[in-house]
Amino acid sequence: MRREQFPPSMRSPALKAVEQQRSTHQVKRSMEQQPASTLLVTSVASQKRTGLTANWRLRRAPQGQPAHTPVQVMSEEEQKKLAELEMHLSRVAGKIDSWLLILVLALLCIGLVMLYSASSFLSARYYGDASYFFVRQLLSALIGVVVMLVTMRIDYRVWCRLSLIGMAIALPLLVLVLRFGTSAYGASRWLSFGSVFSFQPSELIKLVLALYIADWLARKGNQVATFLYGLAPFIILVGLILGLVLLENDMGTAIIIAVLALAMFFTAGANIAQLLLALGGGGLVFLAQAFRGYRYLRLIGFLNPFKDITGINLQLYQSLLALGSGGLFGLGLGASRQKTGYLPLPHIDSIFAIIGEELGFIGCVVIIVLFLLLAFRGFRLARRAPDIYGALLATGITTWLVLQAMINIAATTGSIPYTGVPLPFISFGGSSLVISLAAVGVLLNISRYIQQPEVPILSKQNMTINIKKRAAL
Amino acid sequence: MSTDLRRARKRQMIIFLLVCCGMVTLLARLYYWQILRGQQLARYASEEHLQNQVLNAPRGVIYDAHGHLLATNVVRDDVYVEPVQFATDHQYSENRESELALLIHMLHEVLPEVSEDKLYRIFNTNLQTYRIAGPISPQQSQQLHQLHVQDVFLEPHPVRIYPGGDLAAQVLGYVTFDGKGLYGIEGQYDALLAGKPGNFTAETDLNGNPLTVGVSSGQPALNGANLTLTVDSNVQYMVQEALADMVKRVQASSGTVIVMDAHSGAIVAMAGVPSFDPNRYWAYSDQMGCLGDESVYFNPALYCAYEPGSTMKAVTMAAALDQGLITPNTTLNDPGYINFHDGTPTVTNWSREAYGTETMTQVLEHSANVGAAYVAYNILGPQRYYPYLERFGFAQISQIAGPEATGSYRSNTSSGWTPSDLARQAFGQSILATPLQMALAYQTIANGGVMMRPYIVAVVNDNGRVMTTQPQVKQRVISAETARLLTDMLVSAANYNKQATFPGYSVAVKTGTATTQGLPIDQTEASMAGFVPASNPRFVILVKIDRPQTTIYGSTAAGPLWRSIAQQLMLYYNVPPDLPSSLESTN
Amino acid sequence: MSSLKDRNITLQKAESRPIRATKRRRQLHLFFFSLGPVALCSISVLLIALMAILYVSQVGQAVASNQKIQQMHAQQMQLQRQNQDLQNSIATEQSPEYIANQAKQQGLVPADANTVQMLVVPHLHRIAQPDENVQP
Repeated sequence: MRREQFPPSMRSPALKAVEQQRSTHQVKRSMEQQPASTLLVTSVASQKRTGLTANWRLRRAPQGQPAHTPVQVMSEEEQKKLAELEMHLSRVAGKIDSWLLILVLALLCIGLVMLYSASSFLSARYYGDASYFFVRQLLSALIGVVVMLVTMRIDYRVWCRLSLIGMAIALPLLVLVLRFGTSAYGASRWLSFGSVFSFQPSELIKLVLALYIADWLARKGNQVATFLYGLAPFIILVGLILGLVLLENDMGTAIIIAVLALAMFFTAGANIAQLLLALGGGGLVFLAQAFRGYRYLRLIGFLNPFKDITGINLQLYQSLLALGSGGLFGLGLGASRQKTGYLPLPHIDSIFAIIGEELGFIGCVVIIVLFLLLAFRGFRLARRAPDIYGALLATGITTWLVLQAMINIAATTGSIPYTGVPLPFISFGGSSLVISLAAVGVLLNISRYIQQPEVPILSKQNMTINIKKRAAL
Repeated sequence: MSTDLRRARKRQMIIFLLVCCGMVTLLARLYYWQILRGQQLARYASEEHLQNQVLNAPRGVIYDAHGHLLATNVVRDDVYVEPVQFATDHQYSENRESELALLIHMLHEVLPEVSEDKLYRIFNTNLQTYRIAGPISPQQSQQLHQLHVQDVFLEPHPVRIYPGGDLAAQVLGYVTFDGKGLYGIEGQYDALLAGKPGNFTAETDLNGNPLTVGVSSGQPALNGANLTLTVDSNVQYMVQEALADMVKRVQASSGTVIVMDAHSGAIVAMAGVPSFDPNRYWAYSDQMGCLGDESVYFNPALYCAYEPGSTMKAVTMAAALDQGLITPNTTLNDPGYINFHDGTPTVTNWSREAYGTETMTQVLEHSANVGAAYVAYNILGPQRYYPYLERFGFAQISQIAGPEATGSYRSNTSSGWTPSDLARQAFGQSILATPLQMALAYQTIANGGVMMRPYIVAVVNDNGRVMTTQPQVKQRVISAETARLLTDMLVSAANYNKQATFPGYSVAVKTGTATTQGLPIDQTEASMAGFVPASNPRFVILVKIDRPQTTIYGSTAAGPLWRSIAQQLMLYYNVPPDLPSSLESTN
Repeated sequence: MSSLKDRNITLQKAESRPIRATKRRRQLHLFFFSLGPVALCSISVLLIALMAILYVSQVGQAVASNQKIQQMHAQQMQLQRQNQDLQNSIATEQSPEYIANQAKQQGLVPADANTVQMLVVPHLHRIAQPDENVQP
């Protein structure tokens, strides 16, 4: 809901004051500093029109003025103070982005169906009941949807203050897992309370880290571009988390956290040169350390997927066979052969291969398009966020979800070495599902407060300007 | 709107574009794998999933005449160890030696015949799998299952087992480990007993279980046919025991007995000594029977052709009687030898004994070679003798239960025939016949001159299709009158001899003591052939003892055995005595 | 010039449209329910997912039954094997050799046919067996 459409009487007095200040400043500034053409414009605007053009409204910016030149109306500190103030304003929430909600709902439903199909054989064999995993996933989905509905209503600015407490809880949990973690599927990342409930702290840390870093970067403001106050503390913070995660041998989550933080840092206004240097250094360290031991074997195996198909490349080879068997339309729901023991962990890491086998190329394209649409809606949302915190948060969460999907799909198709990251909303994993849905809830909450930008990218204005520019050339 | 926000928006666009590029790359990769190389990958996947399983057809079961199992199938395990797998499993463990020792000790406890040294040697080799024992008994299988040992597995496979031990071993033959039947019934009816294996091709899961969503095809196995023999287990056992006992008593090298139903031609018992145990057939591969000439696996009743000796005289008499050339009372002069004009060597009686004037009946009673040679040479002549030899089925095989010898004789149309052959064939030398052929000759006489086709398989049950063998007439050899006359002659021969008679029943037998050219005269083949009861014959019995040492004559070596068998047969089958008067005389 | 005219027309249209406090939601009137597009989409997604789940549950049941069938097949093989062993034992114990050995162990001796005495009863009529037709 656009702020401008509120009738003046409904606006809060503080806001009114701010608006007034802004408008006066705008006029003053425009009088002093604008180039001649704009002066002309404003002077034209303030003049009355007569004749034919009496009732025309100025809808289009005049030629020559780029539409999105920042208008410096206030000084930097004043802007900062304004932003701080706005953070504490109560505001009326609009409607959520229903596209996003339906996208996530669609992904969730597809995920449930495919999980049932992929896990039916194994659960029938090991637990006697074909719906063993499905019921647990359904339960997690219900909990996740409830959590999503809750976080949808909580104003996201609340997380500013709570994120530090969240970090204080999540970090010790991460340390606890190193000591007391129960192992399953070859990794020890779970904390289990009793035989029913198990929880993965590394999933929680992703969300909490996104919240915390967004807040941290939002408060830093312009200092992000510096080295001393921007890059160095950032590296230390993220490095600490990465170290803890890597101690669990969880390479996939580490990569996601790194890229997530990087994306937020980049969006917040990092100095490109410094960032590239740091990236280069980090990349070197990564390449040196990451391919030790069995990861080196995985890399070698990845380079030639058809060698050593019973050893290192087993998962990759079987995934490729599953994808190939699918062909264009797939074998049909429930008709996968690879899930009957040939493909290890078909309901967790390789569920995309099962989707490829049962639903074919069409199904895979649908899933990828859904994630692409998720990215689109998420970034669109980030672009229209009212404040920097919201923008950073939206960027971070969207990057996290989409990146996780991309890494999983790439590993299944043999584009990157295998990392063991689950597909969000679709793979089996209670904590992953609940945390992802909570993150989507936060996104939906951000979407309640979006502003229409001055010039949306796909607007008629922008398009016609571009076309006219081309025509002029 | 803050500058931060504006800057952020530009950069968000960059990140979004990167994400789009990533997604498009993934789509391209998926297209590559699923569309471009989809066929090839689908083919690899099919190869992995499709498994073909050969469905073994269970071998047909063999029953005796009363439905008792003679040959059946069980499943026995072979024990295999995996040295390479053991090495890989214990690559990094420190106590490899102690674990190996424990494993070997446990194996040795269950399988005492495999020594621990051998096991140590095997575990040090580089073989994938090695068979250490098999087939093992069910108790040992059970023990090994309960031990839950690693790197040792049991491979089940069907094994042919004969619950009766060596009962009718040479009749049945045996089955090798790969399911091929050899010798005897197992050999002759191997195709029928084996059935046809089926196959089953299906998409399976990792463990080999067929999937419901997968395609499957195949055809079921065709079970082997079940056979029911005409052999009676109890009679067979009795005959085997009696034969073995007699062979040991007279210190003979081998022996044979055939018991045949007189009217149908069904074989009731067929025994041979020495014999083998088909449950452990491999242990007898170098043993010989039938005078040390043939492997012990052959059925001597079918395969051990011999010179029948004096039992042949009944055939000679039958030929002459049937053509009306003689009567039982026709006489001839028997000085103990007979000379021939054409250079044929002289034929003499046993120990040159002279009997003076004899009737034909007395020729049989005395078992005089001279009389027989006279009948064949002077009365019959080759033109009238050899057709009867052929009609009596000599030098022809019946192919009833495995490898059979044809026997042979030189007839007047064969090359190298001399009249001496005719003279000698009259009393059963210079002619080779199998005990079955001799028994068939006497069966003809017992059945009123009609020869039946011998058979040993009574019923074939091929998957529900039941085929019962009916007694079949082969041909009429001699007239009923001839048979009756001959029977009387044989009865008096039996009564004269008294070796084979027993109270209550009339028996018709002829003894035979055959010598072999080139061997000393005390190495004989003592036989006795006949049927009982003579008035209404039920069974034809032929007994043959090879090279008895303590007593060499057919009457003394084979006679008591014949009598014992005949007596027990009469009792077992509740045959009413046909000479009740002879019973009273003994009471 | 035409674009100016268009703008004029749309401007007039815009001016003639009243400015509302709230936007009117587009509604679909479906039988008794009036659903907005959001609700319609979500409900259709959920329904499709439900149908797919029901279908997959059928397949899952088939899989579970198949596993049971395989288990029973294995059990059947096991029982068949035991049955064959038992039949073999029965046949062995019914074989004449075994019976004779058992008899010998218990001290019995094989019967001598010579010791059997047969009694001749003159004028003996067989009593009719119960299953023969007897005329009263």
